[in-house]
Amino acid sequence: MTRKTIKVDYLARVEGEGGLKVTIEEGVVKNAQLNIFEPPRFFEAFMRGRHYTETPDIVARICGICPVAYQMSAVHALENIFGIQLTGQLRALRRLLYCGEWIESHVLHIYMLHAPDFLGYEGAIDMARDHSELVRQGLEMKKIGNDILTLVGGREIHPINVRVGGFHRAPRKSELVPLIEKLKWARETAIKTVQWAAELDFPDRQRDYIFVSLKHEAEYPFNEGRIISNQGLNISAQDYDAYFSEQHVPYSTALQSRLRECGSAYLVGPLARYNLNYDQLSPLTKELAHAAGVAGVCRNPYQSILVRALEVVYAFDEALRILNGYQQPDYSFVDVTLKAGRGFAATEAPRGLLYHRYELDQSGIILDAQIVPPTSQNQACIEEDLKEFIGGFLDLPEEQLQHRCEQTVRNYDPCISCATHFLKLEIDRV
Amino acid sequence: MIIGIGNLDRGDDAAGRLVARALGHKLPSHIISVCEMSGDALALVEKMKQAPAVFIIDACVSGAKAGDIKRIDLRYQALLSQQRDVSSHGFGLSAAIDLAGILGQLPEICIIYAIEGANYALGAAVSSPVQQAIDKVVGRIEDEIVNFIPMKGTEHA
Repeated sequence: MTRKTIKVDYLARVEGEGGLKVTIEEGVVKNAQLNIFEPPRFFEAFMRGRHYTETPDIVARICGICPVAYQMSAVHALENIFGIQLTGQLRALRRLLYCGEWIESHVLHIYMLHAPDFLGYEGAIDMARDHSELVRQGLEMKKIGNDILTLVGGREIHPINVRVGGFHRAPRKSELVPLIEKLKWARETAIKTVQWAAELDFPDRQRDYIFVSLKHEAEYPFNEGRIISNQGLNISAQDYDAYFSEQHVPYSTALQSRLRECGSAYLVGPLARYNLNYDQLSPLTKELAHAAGVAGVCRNPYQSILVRALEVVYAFDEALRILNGYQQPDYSFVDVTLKAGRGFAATEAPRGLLYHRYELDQSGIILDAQIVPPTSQNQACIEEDLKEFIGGFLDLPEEQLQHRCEQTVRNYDPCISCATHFLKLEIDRV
Repeated sequence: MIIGIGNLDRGDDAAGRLVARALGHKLPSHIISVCEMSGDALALVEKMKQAPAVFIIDACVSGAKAGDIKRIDLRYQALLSQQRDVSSHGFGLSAAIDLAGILGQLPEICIIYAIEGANYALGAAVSSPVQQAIDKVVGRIEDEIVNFIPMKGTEHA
């Protein structure tokens, strides 16, 4: 019997620390494991005993790439306890803030982490030597995403302006107006990014995924919506725990999520959002998707770079729409009437569905917290992709095979640091 | 431009930011801009391109004794790093310098002060040797600016 192990001790171009081990027996991929070895961070535990008002600033520290997502899921869950539903310009500002985060996170992944896979480079720096203009435009677009975070969130990393009930301060229109011309330039550059991404050489692989994302009746989802799947799931965030379970696997410090009823892995993130919410994209984004040959449906995870590029166009489009209609609200937050209870929320982080649950006592102290990040939810799906797809690449030389394994993981833009509660590659051929 | 890099909540990792903060109180803000950064390399590339000359102060781990100060003038010496481009979280100072250079965004004068740290534990205080090094680096950068950057090459203080 021939056995081979492909082992990547430290996966590059992912957020955080983890490895990968693939076992091949008699030319068949028998097993694939994402070894998340980044230490647990215990955020849920040290939320206990803190006052609810501290939550946005604490959870923002979970991730330097997607702090807004953590803040949004947190404040929505807490507002769920207090019976608050933001409307008008405060709601629009939260959506604008989320646009900023999607832009900076997606652009970082497209240009700095994922593009080298398709263009044949070790990393972004090597790629920049031959494609400096490409990298330069990526950096410019990312900066504009960061500018949105700075203006609305108070600073570009770990924003400080978000609070339960709204914002500590609502920006004046005059502060936001200068962004409009920048956003127009960035939207044009994002369009070129889609056209560039559409020409990349994608492996012809797809699977019949269970896609899970938020769905909102009137808009492409950021902050609100029901949790749906392409298999008929349609629940509120309150029912998340009844339909999804978190499981510990011995080789990972991150819990893996599965559908409770069938035990199946599922996919969250850009591909899921796109397939379940295509109708809510802006006309410009749909026009570009059509031209790129992925209108409505995309099940090839290697094309996730293209879907992210489409979501970047959407985010610039949406940010412009919000800014053009923005008027500084008379108040920056709505008053909170404190009460004990349990609150639930899910929002769409750049990498996918992010679920938060909090339990408060009558003085606003957090008794319990649960945070389920998108990378935890995608782990099992990544392992299934590896089992399903890598068998078709076994004739590749060892180095290329290892690279293909890593690329398959990077399709998901996994954020290991968020998921630990993770990348090394090990391929085991028997 | 003065750029201090680090995390104020991780012991000696605060060194770069504390140097920048002290210089911010001493230097004329209309001539020298001072900023503190968390270490996001891409943000650093963006920030550096705005200035003709930049001092970057960061904590480092090289195996030297705590508080050891290294001065690297990129006109004369390259910044070496064993681990580059591992992840965006680990996309550090050397990668930022490389990328800025490739993109033509590296300031003409770029001087790095690296302070050897000893304790990077979450919530730890800055160690005594590093605090002394912070004070020394503040003085040295002040002198360099006053004397219009007369020093050359790499040296240990």
